Amino acid sequence: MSSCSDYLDKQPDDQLTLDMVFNNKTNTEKWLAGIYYAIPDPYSYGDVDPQGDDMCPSPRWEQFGFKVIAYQVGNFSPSSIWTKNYWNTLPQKIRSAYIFLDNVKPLPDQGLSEKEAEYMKAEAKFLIAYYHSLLLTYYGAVPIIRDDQDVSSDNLMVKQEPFYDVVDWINNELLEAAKVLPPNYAEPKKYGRATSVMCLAIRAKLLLFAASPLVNGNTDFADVKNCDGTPIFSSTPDHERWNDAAKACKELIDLAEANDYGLYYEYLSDGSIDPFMSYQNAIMNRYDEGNREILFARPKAAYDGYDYVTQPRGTGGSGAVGVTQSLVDAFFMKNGKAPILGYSDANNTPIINPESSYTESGFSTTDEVRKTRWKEVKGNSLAEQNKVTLAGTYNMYCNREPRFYVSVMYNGSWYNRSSRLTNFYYGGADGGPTHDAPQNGYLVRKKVDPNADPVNKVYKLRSGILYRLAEAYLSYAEALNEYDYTSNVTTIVKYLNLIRERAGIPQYGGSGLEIPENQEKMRDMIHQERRVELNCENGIRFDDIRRWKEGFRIDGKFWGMNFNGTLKSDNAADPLAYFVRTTYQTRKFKSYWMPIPQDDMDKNPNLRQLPGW
Amino acid sequence: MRYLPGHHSSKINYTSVNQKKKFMTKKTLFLHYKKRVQCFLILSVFLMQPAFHVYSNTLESNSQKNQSTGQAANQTIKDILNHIERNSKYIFIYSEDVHKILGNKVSISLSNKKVEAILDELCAQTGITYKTSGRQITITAPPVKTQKKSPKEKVKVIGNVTDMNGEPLIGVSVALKNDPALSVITDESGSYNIMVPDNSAVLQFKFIGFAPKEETIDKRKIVNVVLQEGESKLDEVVVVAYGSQRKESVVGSITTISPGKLKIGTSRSISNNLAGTVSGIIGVQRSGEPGYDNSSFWIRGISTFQGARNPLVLVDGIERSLNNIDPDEIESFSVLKDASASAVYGVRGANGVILVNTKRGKISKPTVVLRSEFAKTAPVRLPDYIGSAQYMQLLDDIRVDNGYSPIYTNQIAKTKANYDPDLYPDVDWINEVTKDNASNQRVTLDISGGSERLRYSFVAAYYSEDGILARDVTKEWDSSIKLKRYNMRSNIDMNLTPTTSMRFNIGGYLQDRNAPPQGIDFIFLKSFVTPPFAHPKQYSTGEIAMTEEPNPWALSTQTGYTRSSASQLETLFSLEQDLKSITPGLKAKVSFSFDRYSVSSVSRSKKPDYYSPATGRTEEGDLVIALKSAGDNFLGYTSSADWGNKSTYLEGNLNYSRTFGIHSFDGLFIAQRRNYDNGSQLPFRNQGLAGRLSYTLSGRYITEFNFGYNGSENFAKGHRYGFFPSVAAGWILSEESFMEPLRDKISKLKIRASYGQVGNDQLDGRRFAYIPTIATVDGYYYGADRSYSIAGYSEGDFGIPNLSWETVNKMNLGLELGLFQGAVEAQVDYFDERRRDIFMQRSSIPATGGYSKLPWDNLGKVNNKGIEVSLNVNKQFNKNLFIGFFGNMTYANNKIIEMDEPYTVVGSSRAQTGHSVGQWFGLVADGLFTSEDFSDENLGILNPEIPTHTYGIVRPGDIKYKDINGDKKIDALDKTAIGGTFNPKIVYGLGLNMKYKHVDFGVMLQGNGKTYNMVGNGSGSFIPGSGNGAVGNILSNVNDRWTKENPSQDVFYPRLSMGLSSNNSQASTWWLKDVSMLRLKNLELGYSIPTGLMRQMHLTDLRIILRGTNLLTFSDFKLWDPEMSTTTGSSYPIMKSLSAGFELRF
Repeated sequence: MSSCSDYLDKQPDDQLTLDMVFNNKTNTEKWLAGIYYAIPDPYSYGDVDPQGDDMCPSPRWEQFGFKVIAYQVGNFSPSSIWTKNYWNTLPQKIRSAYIFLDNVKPLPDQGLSEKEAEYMKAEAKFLIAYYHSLLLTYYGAVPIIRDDQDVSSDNLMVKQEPFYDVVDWINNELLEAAKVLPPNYAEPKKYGRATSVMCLAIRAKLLLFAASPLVNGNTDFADVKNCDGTPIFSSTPDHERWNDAAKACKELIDLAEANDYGLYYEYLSDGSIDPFMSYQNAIMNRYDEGNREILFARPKAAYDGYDYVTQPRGTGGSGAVGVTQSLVDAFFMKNGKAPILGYSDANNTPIINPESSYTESGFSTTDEVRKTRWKEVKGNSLAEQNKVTLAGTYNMYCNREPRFYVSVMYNGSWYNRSSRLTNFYYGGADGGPTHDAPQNGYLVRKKVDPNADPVNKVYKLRSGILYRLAEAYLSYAEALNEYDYTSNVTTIVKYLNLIRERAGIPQYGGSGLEIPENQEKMRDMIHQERRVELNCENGIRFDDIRRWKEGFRIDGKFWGMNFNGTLKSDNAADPLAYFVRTTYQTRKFKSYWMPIPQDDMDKNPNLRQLPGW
Repeated sequence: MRYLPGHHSSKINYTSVNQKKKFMTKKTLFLHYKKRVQCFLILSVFLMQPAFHVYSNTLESNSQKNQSTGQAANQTIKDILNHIERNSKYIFIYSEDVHKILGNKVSISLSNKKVEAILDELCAQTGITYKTSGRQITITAPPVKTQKKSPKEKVKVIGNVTDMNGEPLIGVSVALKNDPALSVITDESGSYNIMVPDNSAVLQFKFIGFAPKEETIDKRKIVNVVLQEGESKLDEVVVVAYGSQRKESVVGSITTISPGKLKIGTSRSISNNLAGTVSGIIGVQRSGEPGYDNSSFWIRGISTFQGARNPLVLVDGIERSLNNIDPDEIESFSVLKDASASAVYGVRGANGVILVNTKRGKISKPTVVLRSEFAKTAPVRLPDYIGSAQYMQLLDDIRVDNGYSPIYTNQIAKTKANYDPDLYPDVDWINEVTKDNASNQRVTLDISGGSERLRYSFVAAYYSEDGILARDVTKEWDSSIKLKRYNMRSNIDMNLTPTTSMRFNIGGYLQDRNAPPQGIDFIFLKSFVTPPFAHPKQYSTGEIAMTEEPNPWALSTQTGYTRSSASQLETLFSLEQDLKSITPGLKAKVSFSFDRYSVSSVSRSKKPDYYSPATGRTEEGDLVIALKSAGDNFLGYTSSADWGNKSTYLEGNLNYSRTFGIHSFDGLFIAQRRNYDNGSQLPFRNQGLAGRLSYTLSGRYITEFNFGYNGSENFAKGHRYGFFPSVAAGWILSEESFMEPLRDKISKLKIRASYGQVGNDQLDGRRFAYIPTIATVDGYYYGADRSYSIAGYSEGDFGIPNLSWETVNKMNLGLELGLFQGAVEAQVDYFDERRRDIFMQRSSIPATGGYSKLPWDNLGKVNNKGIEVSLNVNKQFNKNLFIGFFGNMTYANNKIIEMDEPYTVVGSSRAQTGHSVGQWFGLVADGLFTSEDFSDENLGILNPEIPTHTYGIVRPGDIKYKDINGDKKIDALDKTAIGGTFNPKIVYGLGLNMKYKHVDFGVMLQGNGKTYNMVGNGSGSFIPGSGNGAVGNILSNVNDRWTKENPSQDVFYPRLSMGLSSNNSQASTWWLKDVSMLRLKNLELGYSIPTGLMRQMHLTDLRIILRGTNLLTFSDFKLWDPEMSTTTGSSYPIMKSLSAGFELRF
């Protein structure tokens, strides 16, 4: 037994050390890639989009552990699990980024130059700032994590810092990173890595949030204090915050436009804009396919799952993620006017804008044709004219703006890949009784590949867009309007009209559409434009509802068509009529902030829970 | 060692003439010789070494001059002659006369003496004479010596000793109770004759493997005795760590049960027979799926919330699995429970130890036992679902309650009228995926025998089992569950020299299993999920339909099959050397073992064509049905890579056992190492030393010290080895002289206590936790077309340089009581285990620290206390009637003392600290809401004094909860410890064995208590209606519910809601059900064919057995088998069986 002493002296030889990571270029890049991973994937249908009032995944998925439904109906508490789970996951990436900053060094002999190392450090800084901004905008009262703490450190029990202190800190970090980083990269393989444009985009988003009524002078939060008794939010409004936001948007727009970014357009042969194809492919097409509208994208996104859940189940998808009636109602008419001004009673009866020519009764009698290569209604991508609706379509869906058809799949719409009408009726090919059916009569169509084929798993490769130029335009318009309507009205209309032009609807100040006459009316139009243009994108609507303190929009009954309907009828007296506004869910709004997980509340006595939880 | 030391003059030639001359004598000599050899060998095999060596060692020559010759004081002439015979080339020849005095005791110094010198001294003391002739020494008795000692005239008693079957027993010791030295041994025909001093003498009959018996002569001349098979109480030997001890001297807490008691039921795994059979074991069988129906069992319950909880199982001293051993391979089964019994296993012993020794050959003519049993099996209980019409009616009722109009009226009518089963199906999915019956059978062949030099035991066993999953007989392939296992074990012992023995074991099994490619529990789960009216299992035209949920019948019958094959090889080689030449009582042994396990599988699977459920019929009457997903044409083929595990084990031990007058010492020292390689980057290793020192004074006071010093490669250098000591003491009160008057009644009274430490190095979650790691995490994709993918790295685990094993301090107090000559035996043990340094992740570090892996540490503490009781009553009423009763109960209750819960939680109603591992947590239901609780019933607004219920809007009939934390709202913070744990805290068994003439009858009941299940937990569609008709079956107790018409509080279900009711589906006391039960686990009727009849057929024994297993289950919980691990009832059921078999010996 001479080997007794060393029999157990075996140590695994496959364990990396920190030195081995940062003395190797590839390993260094891997560490950085690990930090990047937490950049959110916008192709999610289980968190921020359904938390707003755009998206409606099957409420009956709750029994399969689909957690966002619980949030929607108010069955959510600090002990519940939020799918995004930023509080628990982002600090890990922030810590990892600080370890990166502590250790990264040039490795010239391996091709990691001094400059590349500087870039990488700036990227890490960007990610730290970005992740802080995500924490801040969802939780409101957060700590600033300034370095990586040892596990036995006394500073582990962090405290929340005043909202604007965190905003200013992030703002500063983003500007510093933007100074170092290029606006874009020449090498294709660096696409997706942080750029100065990304830094400014996140900054613009943050400063817009910081200027908004939720946090700017909101007296409701006067009592929200951290463990020192320091108030987190400012109860006195600071109007200059809007100016800061406007300037941040302008700086972003300037930097982007100076570097060949721009709205995405597709044209017909006569040189006119094809609004259907432009709006559809502003999302579907990638940067390398000529889409310069994308300012910040996650190169890999889970669009395959997204396409699967939004394809009618009779065509192989699970056909259960839809949009809300309120989003359907928000789209303009093709004449550029809003169809619905509000609701008159508890039965969701709309107050119809008499100028809009909108009606909710009856079915169309003729096909409607427009100038577009959009072929989704029995069409042809080479033809310059294609049908948009067929005769027999419920009138609610007729004569709407192009973005409606690109964004919403309704019952009786043409489904091109299967050459048939969608059949959402109860017992129909795409309808109930299953939980995998459009529970309120709609499916999401935006961001979905029109040729998606779940049976053969064919989906178009696309990026997960986190910020596109259209958002910058709309944010800029909003900030300018809030800061000073009168002196900025021209600029505001310019940017709104850029969006409307691309959307194929009349612009303000032209063909019978007046420029909104005051700040309030302009605000309404900016808000509606923003909702329509940016619908179902990356939780923008959820953020807006919160920014604007419009929590009532996600409280109370939610509507759609009659899931149990079997008849093509709009007769509200007939329980089997499909085209009748019907409640499918009653939602409960609890708080403008996500709750700090109960686990951390239990562990860290210095934390204070956000109001409403 | 052919010669005694110093012996030089024994090389005497003998001739064939000498042989002829002595022919007649030699014949008798041969008989004597044979008897002695039998006796010796049986002793050596069964009495086990330490006890026997008390004799031979004290006779051993010893070079130390000052060794007291008095040590040989208590030896008989026979012992001395045996000793000489074994250690020299001499053979003794003696007459009947001599035989009578062989038991006489003498006192002879043996140190460094020649054979002649010893014999001379023997002659001087006893009056015998001897004569040497070649190798033979003839001994002659002194004339009428014995008569001098007894003034009375001696009485001659003769008789036969047989077993229960009338078979003669050879080599039974027949001794006079008052003077055990006066003894004889039965001959080849089982007969004896003995001279006793008077008519009222009492004879004691003792034989290995049989209960000893006493008979008063009572003036009889012929005393025939039937010995009953069973543990011989006086010479009973207990298998202990690394050896065995006489039962009397055991002071640790050890349960030994005879392997026969494990032969209950017809289940594949012996683990299913432990609960209720072995006191100290908490065991549960959670599934009946063939191949996966092993029980979970824990010695004295669970004492940790993290890491391995399973006991160390040692088969022939080697770490092996208990699951695939055939009961017929087993010779002894011991459970080591306290620190004294298991400290020698050091870091491996924390969860207790099970020692299984496999059968070894005995000196006898070849014995063949053939045993076979065939069983018909059926589920104990399957959940009962309602049919389509009732289901749809219920959905409509719920709709109406919620203000909607009914939608199923037409469908219900057509379903009831059986109008068109393709369009209006009514399918009981559980029924469709299962058959009513299955079967299993077992055949074992057990051959053993041997001579002085070579003993062998060979066991072959075949076990096969069918599952209850249905198959489609129209398919040429067979998807049904079938399991076949072939066990084989061959154990050989060989004496290489008189002091050297060799042992070679080889065993193992092959197991083949055929099953559908799907997980079986998945099929059962989907049988619960698919409603009865979704679609038929298959349309009359052959199409197979599915919704978004799979078709359970198709899963089970249409998707092909998987075959898996596992093989296990177990070998052991050992060499034992008696080192009496160094010092008497010393032995050395070296063992080496190599085990190998491998498993591989082939899957032939296909997806059938699936259609969407038919929506109607065309005018021609064809079904309107569309292909949903195209299937495969052929069975596909995939096979798994083959890697199992292998282990090698090496052990050396030194054993010392010696008695000096009233002082007995036992010592053991072992060195051991194990290498277990399961294909991970480094094999698992451990090595160590262990020792035992035991001292017994006057056979009444026993003390024992044990230690294990061992370690494993899991820890940092310098922290790898640990020392685990234990002490124990026992006092056999019944041997005290003051107990003498009570001895008739109290035959045994022993108290014992032990305290010590054992460890556990099987840390869960992290190996090599002393090394910090870099974790591979998800990385990122770059490039607009995401074509540049880079994997991610990040900080992994922290290294814990001083990481250590867990330790358990175990205390045990025991009392053993024997009454009425052992007819009643009772044992009570109280235990207190305190596990410390449980390896766990720190759970008090906030997420904002950003540690992707929470640091590990030796932090946790769990206490585990309990009591176990066993009682055995055995009574042989007369020759024909025997009745035995047994019962045992184990209660173990653990409590988490420390688990690094945040301090804000500790002490609160939410704390797990202070509760048992696995404690249920949930809300506390306070009945159902009534209309009076609402200020606005329609809007669901509660009266102000009632806490806000935050799980959605509530209505009358919904579950009302108690506000535990007093914050005026019901939410997750109100979840608190409710009920107990799912794993039972009490397991008990009781049974009866009877034998009347040739008929034997056994019954065994097993039960458990303090066990709770949360029905519906984790399945949103458990509550009827919550799946809105799309998913979920409904149990037939659905009418036991709250309705507006019957607003009773005393119902199973609260108000049923359209879709999920978050409020009602919360884990709460409402759904917590007591699932304690009592099972009729085994019912056995045997008939042994009378011996006379058997003789004619050249058979020795034939027993015919009828058996029922799990025939009855008593429980307050009726929805499904309460022991199953399921919250909806849909899981492979535990089986009951009826079987018939036989056991044939020849």
